[in-house]
Amino acid sequence: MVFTNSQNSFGNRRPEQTEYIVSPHIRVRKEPFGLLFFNTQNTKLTFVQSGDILQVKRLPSGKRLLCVSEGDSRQNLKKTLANLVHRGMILES
Amino acid sequence: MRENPDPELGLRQCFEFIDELDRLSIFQINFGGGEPLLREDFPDILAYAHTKGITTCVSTNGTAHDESLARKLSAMELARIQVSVDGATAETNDAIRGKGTFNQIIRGIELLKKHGFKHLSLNTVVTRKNFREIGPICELAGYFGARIRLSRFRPSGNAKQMWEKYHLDREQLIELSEFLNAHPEILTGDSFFSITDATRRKLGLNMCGAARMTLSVLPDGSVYPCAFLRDASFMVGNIARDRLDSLWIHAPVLNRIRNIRIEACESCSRFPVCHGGCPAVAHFLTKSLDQPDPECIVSFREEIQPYAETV
Repeated sequence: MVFTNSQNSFGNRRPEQTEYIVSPHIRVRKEPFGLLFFNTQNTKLTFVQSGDILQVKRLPSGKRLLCVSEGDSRQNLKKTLANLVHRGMILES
Repeated sequence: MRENPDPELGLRQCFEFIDELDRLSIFQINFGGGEPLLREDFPDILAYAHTKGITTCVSTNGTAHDESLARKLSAMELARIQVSVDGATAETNDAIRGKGTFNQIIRGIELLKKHGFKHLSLNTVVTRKNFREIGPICELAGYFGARIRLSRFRPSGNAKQMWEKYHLDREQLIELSEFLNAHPEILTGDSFFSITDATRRKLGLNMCGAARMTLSVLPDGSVYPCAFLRDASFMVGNIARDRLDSLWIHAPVLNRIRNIRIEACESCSRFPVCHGGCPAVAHFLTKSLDQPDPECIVSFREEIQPYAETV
């Protein structure tokens, strides 16, 4: 899996990694517990207890990327990301 | 520092405030009243929030929009509207909201539906006057394809004077609790956690969001922890002169709200469900923020039970 800060010190991208884009109808912000997602279509909140592992970066285009601390590949995190993809909250790019 | 010479924030100040909310990644702005739709530039304020991706929810009396405004609102994907109706009949509603308002509200709802407004809900503040019409009010919402939200009557603002006459008695609160538990489709926001069953936890916040998730900003820019805690002693600051992020972190009033400790509740099995209930109700009925919500369903049952056993 890859993440936006997925380049090594030589600027090379790790081939096995995946990027995630936050879906257009989803807003997200960092909270002390992790990330708080808000679905603008139904106003539902989703609490992701990820601590500092997941970060959100806003690109100049307005898109938001979900970033994972480099090298973090714990199983729970993979499940969480897969769940967010399944629910249409983030998209694999 | 921004100046605020007028009693109500100007359009530019509203835009600047929305910019600040966007910078803080705020998800939703709820507009209440008074009547927000009476402000002529209100559609511009909504549209500006939507350009930032911020969802808006407008609480309206349902009588202030015409055909043109209904059309504009219906074109706003991120707008939600909540129309206040306090009875299933003109007799009940008008006794609370004013003569002739029921028919005006129905016309207002029909206008929004005519233009295809999607995210419509009806909101009813539950009182003794309309308690027996909750079922028909839900049916009324269903007829218009709208969701229903039941709100708690709280002894704050003008309601302080009406409290004794309008608030639900204990048996009614227990009956309402059972009704809500049987109808998970009914929205309550987080106002009814004092009577809400554990099964409704997943439907919303299970604790007061004031100073944790929400703030209330008045038309003049003054900030309070909650729309129901607006005594002068709870004033946090004013967005016309203060930065919201600074107020959020440093304001003593907000930190006081965050540090409410209700020791009498902490050993209760329901504490994880309600966290002591509504601080505003506790404050206005007991003069203390650190007291249990006086309308707590557990305390009712404890008081009712001995009586029931002797009958």
